Amino acid sequence: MRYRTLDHVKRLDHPVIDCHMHVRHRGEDWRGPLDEEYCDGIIDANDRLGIDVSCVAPIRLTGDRRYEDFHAGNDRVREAMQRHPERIKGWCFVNSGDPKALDEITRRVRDERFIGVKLYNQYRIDEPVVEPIIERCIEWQVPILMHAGRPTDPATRARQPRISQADHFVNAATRFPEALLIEGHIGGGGDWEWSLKHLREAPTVYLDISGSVLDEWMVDRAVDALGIDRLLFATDMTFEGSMGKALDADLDDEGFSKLMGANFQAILDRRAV
Amino acid sequence: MTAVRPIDCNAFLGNWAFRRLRRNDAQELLAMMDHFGITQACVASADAILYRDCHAGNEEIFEETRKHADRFWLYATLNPAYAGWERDLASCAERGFKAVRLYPYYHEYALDGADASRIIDAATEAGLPVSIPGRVVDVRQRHWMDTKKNLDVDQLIRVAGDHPNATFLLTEGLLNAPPGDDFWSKVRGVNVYVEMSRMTSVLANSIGTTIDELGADRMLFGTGFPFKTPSPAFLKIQILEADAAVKQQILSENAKRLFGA
Repeated sequence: MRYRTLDHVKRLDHPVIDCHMHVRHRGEDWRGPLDEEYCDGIIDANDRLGIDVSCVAPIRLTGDRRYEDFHAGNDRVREAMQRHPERIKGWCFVNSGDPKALDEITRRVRDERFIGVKLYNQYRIDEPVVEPIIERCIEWQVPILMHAGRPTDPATRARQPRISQADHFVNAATRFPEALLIEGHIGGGGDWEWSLKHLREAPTVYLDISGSVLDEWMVDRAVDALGIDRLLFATDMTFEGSMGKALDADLDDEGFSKLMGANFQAILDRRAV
Repeated sequence: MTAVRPIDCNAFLGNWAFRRLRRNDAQELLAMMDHFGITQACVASADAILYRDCHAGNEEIFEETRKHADRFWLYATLNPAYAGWERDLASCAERGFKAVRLYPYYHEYALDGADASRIIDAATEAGLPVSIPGRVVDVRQRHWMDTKKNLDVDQLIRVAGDHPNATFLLTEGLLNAPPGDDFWSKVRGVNVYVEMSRMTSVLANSIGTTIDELGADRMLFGTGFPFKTPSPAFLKIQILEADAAVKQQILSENAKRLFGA
């Protein structure tokens, strides 16, 4: 067994990148302003754990969110990027079914330097309505990070009838092998063993290790199934848990470096817009 | 990692029917403990949870750990709705088990029912705390034959109020009420300790809030190993904004007091 410490993280010769994190709105209004205290709390948590950069999307944009909702959410992300320009990068969140989704992506990704597109569970990754977004992201060589999982309890499934599962990623990656698709949070609550079995059949899909499930062996099993080049460090708000999962992974130094930021930086470096 | 030698109050030995575990025997657990400087681990049998006669799991971990009895403190997994638990409890107490472990959501009895009340009283009579995990696995990833239920923490607090002489340890606890919430006054009034591996030291800072509301003497350190990977628990204490004395209480002193070491 190999257990690393935060000293190993500090010795990395590149930034540690959390590729899946969120900012919040203040108050009850979905279109409210950035919760600045929470935003600064991300930086504080990162400082304590050795994380250099967080890639953030708006949170709680569930259900049939329309343009005004996700536009306001992306404004909050932009505020966070401006508040901590060296520490926060932004994902552009859209509802794939909204007619203004591509316009929003153009504005945020091309004009405001957001790093890519974040999708939730309004549509599955392999549904036709998502295809124009995938095609745009292929053209610009920017990633799509998608909320995903295989929840097995009836209540969670009922709440997320169109959550993207690993087999949906296989379908999308087969149709669009040039796409930079990231399946979100293998530890987000769901049958991760089922997901890993499917992702073996999608050699272009990346996977982030975030989520509150801290199962021993999970990251090592992900490495076995996908290879280290396709795994990405992320927290999705589970800070110590996700860092701990990474520290406990049975990786050599090169593999640890790839997980903690080198792989994601390579994705960002492909940007062509 | 730390000058204080921790006591892990949340560990297991054995197999779990719904997911293959690794590093789940005494030698592997000792290796993890030695790496992190853990002096003692409080261990329950993972098999016992699903055995019809869960006491068979107690027998297994007793045999497996007896060569290292100074390193392992044992939970006696018992089902008060099953035959003969009284004799099994007495046997475990005689052999030095440190606490009783209950799983009402697996063994299908009510924590506020008569069966539970009897075993809580019997454990108290034997001088043993009663440990109840908030959950064993996240139900969002449950096997199709696994339970859909978690522990009702509010119910535990009420039951603790009904048994003022008993001592309870909530492992896998998630106390995330905001500061000043009525929940905390209820918990302050009962004899419940909480193990911290599901909580956090950043942002929501549920560990810090729990310490502020209940006092540092109510929180115990645990990893959840080998169900869970161990480093997250250590990181939570490492980056917790608290002085060394508080961390020592959580890592070690509270467990020594609770388990009579």
